[in-house]
Amino acid sequence: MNPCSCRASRRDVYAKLSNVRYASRCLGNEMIDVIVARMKVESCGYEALDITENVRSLVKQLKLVKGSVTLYAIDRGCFVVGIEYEPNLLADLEDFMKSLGCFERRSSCIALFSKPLTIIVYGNELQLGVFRRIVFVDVSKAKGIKEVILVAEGMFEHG
Amino acid sequence: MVEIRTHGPMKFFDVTETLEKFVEKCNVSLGVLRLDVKGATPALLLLDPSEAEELLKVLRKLVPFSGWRHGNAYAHLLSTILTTSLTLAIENSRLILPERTRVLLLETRSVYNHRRTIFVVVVGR
Repeated sequence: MNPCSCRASRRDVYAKLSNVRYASRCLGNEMIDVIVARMKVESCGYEALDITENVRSLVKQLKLVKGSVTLYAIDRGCFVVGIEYEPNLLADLEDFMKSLGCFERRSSCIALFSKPLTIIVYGNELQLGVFRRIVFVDVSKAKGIKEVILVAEGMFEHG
Repeated sequence: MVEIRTHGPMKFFDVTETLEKFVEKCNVSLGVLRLDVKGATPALLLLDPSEAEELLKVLRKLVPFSGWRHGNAYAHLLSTILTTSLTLAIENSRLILPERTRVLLLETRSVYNHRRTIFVVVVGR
């Protein structure tokens, strides 16, 4: 997907930690916690943004030692996908999404792209591999602040 | 963490037995198994292996091998539209799977003896 003029600014993605919801339960000697956070993404309505570093920073901030993070977008025409962030591949993704009718919001596209993305966290690090990145894709053609839900589940470092 | 050797392109590898052994070792009778395969091109599926060939035909039609700008775009796109992660329930220390369904890893790339890592998280009691 080709970048658009407002894509350059990385400050436009941030996690609104005030909205964090927290639950915990005890399993044997281990405490499993669940944190739900909302990330705000300022989007020009037609772009693909690499939000990996934002998610990584949030995982560190939350002190998730081991477990998983699950992400999904909640606005129409917005998706969170795991893919290499390379210009030619993003252009291919754009073509593919066009062929599936993503811009007309066809159900075939929504079914394939709107799945939540789960990444395992171990040692406070996202286990993505070498090329995979967490990418926020917006084909809504509606400029504005979009939301990504992040569910962090597992063992957190307390204190 | 589970490591398996794969070859491709477009070959399925059944990892169900390995995962079942993993669950047994964890001594968890009731809980959840979360899986995520590392990398930008593989995929994880719940599938009846006898229907794998039929699925491949559909996938080849949906995402052709060639005609893309990026060299192995088809592999990335397949990994993206399928999934790299799965969540399964554990009951009585066994995975609950739909009838005739297995956990399969799809190696999309043209590789030989390639090492794939599946991260496994078991939560339960």
